[in-house]
Amino acid sequence: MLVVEELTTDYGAVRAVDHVSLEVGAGSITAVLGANGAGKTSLLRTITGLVPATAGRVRIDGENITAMAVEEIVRRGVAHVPEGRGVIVELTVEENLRLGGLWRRAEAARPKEIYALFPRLEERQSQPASRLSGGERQMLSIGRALVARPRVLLLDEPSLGLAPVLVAQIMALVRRLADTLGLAVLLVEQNARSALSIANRGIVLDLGRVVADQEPEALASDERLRHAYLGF
Amino acid sequence: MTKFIDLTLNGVSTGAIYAAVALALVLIWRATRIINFAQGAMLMITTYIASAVINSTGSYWFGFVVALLSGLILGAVIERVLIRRVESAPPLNAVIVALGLYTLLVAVAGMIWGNTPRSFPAAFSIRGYDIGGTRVLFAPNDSFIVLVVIAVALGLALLFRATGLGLQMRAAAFQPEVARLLGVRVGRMFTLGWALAAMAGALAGVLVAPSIFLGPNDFDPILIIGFVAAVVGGLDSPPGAVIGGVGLGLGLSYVSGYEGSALVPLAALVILVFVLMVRPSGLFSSTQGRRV
Amino acid sequence: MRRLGGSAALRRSTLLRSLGLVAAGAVVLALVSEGLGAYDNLELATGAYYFAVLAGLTVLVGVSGQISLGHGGLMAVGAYTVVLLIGNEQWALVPALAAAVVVTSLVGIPVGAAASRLRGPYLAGATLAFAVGLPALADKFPATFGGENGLTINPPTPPSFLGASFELERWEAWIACAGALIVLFVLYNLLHSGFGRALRAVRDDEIAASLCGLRVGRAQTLAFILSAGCAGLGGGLLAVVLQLATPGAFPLELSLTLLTGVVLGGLGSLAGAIWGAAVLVLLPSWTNDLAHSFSLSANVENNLPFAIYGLVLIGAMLVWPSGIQGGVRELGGRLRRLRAHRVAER
Repeated sequence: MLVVEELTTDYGAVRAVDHVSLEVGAGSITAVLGANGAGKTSLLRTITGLVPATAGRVRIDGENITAMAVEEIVRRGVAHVPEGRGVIVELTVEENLRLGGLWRRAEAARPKEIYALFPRLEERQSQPASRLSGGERQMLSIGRALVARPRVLLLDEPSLGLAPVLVAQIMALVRRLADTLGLAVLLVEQNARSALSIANRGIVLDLGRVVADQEPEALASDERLRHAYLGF
Repeated sequence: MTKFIDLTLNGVSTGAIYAAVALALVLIWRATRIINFAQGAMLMITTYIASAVINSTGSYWFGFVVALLSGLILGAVIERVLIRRVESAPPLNAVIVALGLYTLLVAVAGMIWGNTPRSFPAAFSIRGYDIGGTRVLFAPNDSFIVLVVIAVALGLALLFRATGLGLQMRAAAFQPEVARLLGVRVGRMFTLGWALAAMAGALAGVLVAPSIFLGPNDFDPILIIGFVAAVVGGLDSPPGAVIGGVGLGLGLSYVSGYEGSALVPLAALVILVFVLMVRPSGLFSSTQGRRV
Repeated sequence: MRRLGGSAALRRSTLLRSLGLVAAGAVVLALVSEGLGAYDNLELATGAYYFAVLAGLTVLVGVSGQISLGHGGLMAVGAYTVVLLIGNEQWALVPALAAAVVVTSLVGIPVGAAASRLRGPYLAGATLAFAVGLPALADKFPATFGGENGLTINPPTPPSFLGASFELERWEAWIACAGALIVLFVLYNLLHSGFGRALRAVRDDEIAASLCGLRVGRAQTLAFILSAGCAGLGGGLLAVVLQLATPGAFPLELSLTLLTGVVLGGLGSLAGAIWGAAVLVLLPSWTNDLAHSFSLSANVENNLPFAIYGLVLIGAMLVWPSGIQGGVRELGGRLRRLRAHRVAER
């Protein structure tokens, strides 16, 4: 589904993403781990076209989307839930949801379908998003991404700032979405343990480079990697 | 008492025009976080175009429509050609580009139509209504002005509140990057914001032109008061622009009627300072203003 | 103790450097003015009082991060102060100019305190209303301020030791340049002091600055008062050079032109203020000459200078987003890299 080949991103003289290659199939989750500044967010931002790639390619179902505008990439079925959740606090919950599916017109999911996943949102549908708690914002943000019925879901640190109970709930939900909707999920996380618990594949980035690309169990049992990069 | 009623009526109709100007500024501020100092020159150009069309076809309404359409186009072109290039630069650069554009458009108008002001026809009679034997300071044309501005304000409210396009425009204004990630064509929304704003400006131009004269610099005072109205109302709030415009129209009409027109700019200053000391982001603003 | 001694040494070296700058500037300006005719000396004087205002404004806009569309109004305060004191009270030139600085700074206190509560376009709106509203006072109190026609004073007389043939315009240029150099000296030292650093910190991140114990509102108010004082001096010098103060001399366009000058020259640096002053003086006369060098219809000929001026503003902002000084700095950097490259190749 999503194929990244030798992707490289530079910010001026700083190389943020350095020849990264990875693949995510439909219905599977690839976790991208690593410390602050390892290039995880830059990788996602390059995939969705928010920052230009210096070299390499990104393909969706074989189509090269590397040099496309963000809006076009989104129209190829990529949904990116940005770090810090990115809900538009000036709009209501319902407006945020509707916004996610406008380009899909009639084929977009109805807010009702999202409320079935997140009943908490339905209670607050006509409130401005600024009134939501951190966990609710995360739900809204993921729910909003689903409205467009994407095929590829890019999640940037969904656990950031959430209580452990909520983190577990969100992770379980992501697994369920991948299984039931056949989504290809690229999950960027600093919380390596939770991410690996649901992932089919784990990738560790350091200074923009892939330093490990293994089964989750193998990663979790590698003493050296755990100490050097994963912090558990 | 008659004088008070006259001043009130007069304040409402000039206030409606200030409201239209303020709406133009608010739309652009919301879309691109730029104060459009070129707005006065843009609406001056579209009013000249209307004047030329009216003179050659003899139809006021044809000129009226052409003015609105040319505003739409002028706004879109300016955003596409000039503003897009300074959107990522420091915010003051856009201000200077707008000032440059103002100077350029005023000069171009002077080259084409000369610097001598000319008269501009009104849509309806400007003879005040006769009520109980006294003629009031409110004519059929003033009714027209007020009704048109109300219609435009309601139309914009409907667009922003009830349509998907309006939702996308608001999202693009509040958080362009998130909006793009949700598939909103942000660049188009900015262009549309400028186009709609310039159309509201063009409307203000044709509405006010009969009561002043049409010259390259004759719209500047209206624009300044429109700006004050937008700031008083809160730059993020279209309803604020309308209320600010009408409120300022009334206030300045009383000042001008009872204390003399020389004090109008000073009164605008006092009103503005008073409002901003109480509410530093205007009366109806919900979000915090970015630094210019 | 040693650190204190070190910072005192630093302060002394800044002081010496600024004195050197001022001395060099004085020599250059005196020589330049010697070679100029009456008209060009007036232009030099104009550039000098513009510099005084722009330098203060660049501290406010570029260093403290506020905006003002009202500095034309502050210049009016300085100009009327000078004209009233010299014309009505027979004050001498220097005390009258000093009084202009003091009075304008005093006016700057409430305006600056109010301004420090406002942000971005709201501040722009408030200061703009100030620029538009203030000249209306002159109309309201015609007995004091002379109404539309304003007030006039006699031209300053060159001191006798300069010789009987010393031109009035050259003397005016000297006066204005002296004012400009004093502004340069004061601001150079202030910007290289703790106050300058505090202002920059406030501009870059107000919240961080306030967490570091800086009083943000006070720093911004001080910056406003400082720039008001400079505008007052500039306005006073304008009154001396033109020998009058009228409401018409301080329209809103003046305030907008001043802002254009600081942005076009390069925000936040005194060198940028010099470029800005030069552009404000030279650009209009160049565009004028250019427009009149063709034979065009009256409408086109009269408006062409403004059209060119507008085009130059737009073009400059597209080509040099950080002003002329920014462009010069970039060019210097490129030349240096080129030279380093050549040396390395050898």
